[in-house]
Amino acid sequence: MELDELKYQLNKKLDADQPKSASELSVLLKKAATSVVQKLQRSLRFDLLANILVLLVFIWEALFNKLWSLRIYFATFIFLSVIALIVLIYLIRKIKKLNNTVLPVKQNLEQIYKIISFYKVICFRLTMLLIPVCFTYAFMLGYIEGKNGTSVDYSILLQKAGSKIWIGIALLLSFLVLLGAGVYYFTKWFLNRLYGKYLSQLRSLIEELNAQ
Amino acid sequence: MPTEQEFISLLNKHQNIIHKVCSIYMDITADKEDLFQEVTLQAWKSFATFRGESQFSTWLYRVALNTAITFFRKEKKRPTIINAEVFPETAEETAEMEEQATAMYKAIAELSKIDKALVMLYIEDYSYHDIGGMLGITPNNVAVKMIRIKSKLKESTQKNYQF
Repeated sequence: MELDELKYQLNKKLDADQPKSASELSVLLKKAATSVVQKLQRSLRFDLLANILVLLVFIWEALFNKLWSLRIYFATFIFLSVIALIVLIYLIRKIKKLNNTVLPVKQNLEQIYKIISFYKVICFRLTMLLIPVCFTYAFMLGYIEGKNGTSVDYSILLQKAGSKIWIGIALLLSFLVLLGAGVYYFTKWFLNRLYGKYLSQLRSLIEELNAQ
Repeated sequence: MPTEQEFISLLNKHQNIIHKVCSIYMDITADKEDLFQEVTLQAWKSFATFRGESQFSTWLYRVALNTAITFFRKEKKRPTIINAEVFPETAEETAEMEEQATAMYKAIAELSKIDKALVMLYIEDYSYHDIGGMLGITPNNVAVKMIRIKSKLKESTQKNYQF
């Protein structure tokens, strides 16, 4: 029994579902898409909106905060938010372009793979970048301002600590290392949980198409 | 700018393409409905760029296959059930032919997503050149893959169907 002998029967069987009416089709057009790419697009749009709102807060704080260390701190976040904004706009445009064009299956798979991989990598890098910015950089700024006597005086804290200062530094460093490792593994795990399986399925489909 | 009415009218004429793709990729009615909705939405989103360079049916096949291949459901532990609802009997068919077609259908259900797309376009009588164009591979690669698929199907139908 060959495939060619059963072409007609198979075609008829595949065609056996009840057709939908024009009004049923019209209702379908009002519903929301559920594909991974569409969900990603919705999530990126939400991120974009949140990013713009947060950016406005950062601008306000960078201009009007009483402490100069916090003004520099928030100015740094403006820079990071602008990078995130550019990346988000780039990805949304890419997905929009992908939605509007009907590519051959292989190219379509490659495009989706590229977009999601890029998003995964950029999310990971930006999250990792936040660790030194939030802790080391913030600590340094606070320390410098404290020394200048404007608000937080870390030198008093250091004097009180005396010889136990090394224990304090060791504890602080351990905290930073543990936090860094925690954020590193959690981000990796979380992004893999969200997109890892889908990416590996896409990769195997592309490999299958490339194979002779 | 194409109107929704225009799109629905074209889709109404060619919706059997989406039904076929849903039948070959999904075995449960609820999943078929979800995929049907997804393909319809995707086709509507891309319709503005349809310039009529190819036939609407070919264009819709491309949209439907792209959507079905990238559409992943969360894995549910359930056996693949090939039931009468999926393959309704037709009066003109003999019982033997029906059994053979069902055995072949079961074998197709076990193929990979890419192989299902190839079989789907092959039974629709598209040339290797057209199939290659839709999948983004060379006609030669299509030919090689079809030889392999045909032999795989023959082997599994022989297991499923007793002569």
